[in-house]
Amino acid sequence: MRKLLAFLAVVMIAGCAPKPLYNWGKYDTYVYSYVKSPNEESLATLMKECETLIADCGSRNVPPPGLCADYGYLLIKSGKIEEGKAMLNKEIALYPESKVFMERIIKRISQ
Amino acid sequence: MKRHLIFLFSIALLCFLAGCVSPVKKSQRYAQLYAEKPNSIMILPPINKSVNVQAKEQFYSSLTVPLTLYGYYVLPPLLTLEVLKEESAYDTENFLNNSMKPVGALFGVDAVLFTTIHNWEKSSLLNNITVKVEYMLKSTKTDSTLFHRIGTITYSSQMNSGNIFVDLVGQMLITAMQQEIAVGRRCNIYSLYDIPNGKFSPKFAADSVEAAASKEFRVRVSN
Repeated sequence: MRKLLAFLAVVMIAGCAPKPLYNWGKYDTYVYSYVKSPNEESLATLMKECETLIADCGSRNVPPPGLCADYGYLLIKSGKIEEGKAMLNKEIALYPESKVFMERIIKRISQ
Repeated sequence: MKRHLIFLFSIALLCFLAGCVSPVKKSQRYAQLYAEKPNSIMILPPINKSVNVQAKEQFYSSLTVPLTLYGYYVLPPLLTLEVLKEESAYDTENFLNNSMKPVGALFGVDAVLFTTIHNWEKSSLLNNITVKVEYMLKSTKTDSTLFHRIGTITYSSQMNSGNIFVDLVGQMLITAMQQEIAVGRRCNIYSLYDIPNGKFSPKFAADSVEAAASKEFRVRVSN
């Protein structure tokens, strides 16, 4: 009986839990995999996760802070400079607090 | 009469003692953070004092998510790491005691998060990992410490902490990911849940009346 009550409590709490502000998926795990072994496979997995998470948002209905910027950086590393820059600018549009850092990166790429 | 006086004195003493142990509110513990209302945070690579050489990057990658979920803007983890490596600023211990004001100006952030991994020990015999991590959020405006906690987490593979909430958090977080990342995530959840919520959280500025948790804590979690 106690187990049943505990189970019901867990189900109720889980059901009532608010949706998180952002959906981060497995981003942290893939970032670590890429940092540890930066190769084509880990890069492709990380970029795919970025694309998924940019499309599938949390309760704020926007991609998480920094995600567009990291994705932009990966695009630039893959040679897609303009697409990458567009993502860095998207980060600024979504999060104006990123402007100083993003503009520094854009300036560096443009040199 | 004497008995009444002793009784009244006892009551007064109890009230005094109760007052002494009444929980500190977040508005008191984190007064400077509420005053400054930082919005953007840069996470620095952890200072690794443990014997696990991989702990630094493992732990770094798990820090961004919880802070953003508490309503803060956090600089992109991968890009920040690359820039810090390029600028030879990867070894955070070299500037732990420096003013963070230049960092604020250079990166456009309101605060910087320092973390120190004091211990990251795996016991094959007991099938658990124990980590001890210190978190310190420092203002780039005033160099004040805005948040400071030290947590020791022991993570094992049996799920029965005796606390239904602890177990629930554990169950939600357990996936097939590496155990080390999982323990880093747990440590962050328990340590950072006390931080006042940032601008993007619906609880922003409304949590000042909540009781603050102890600065140092120890918890055992399992799955």
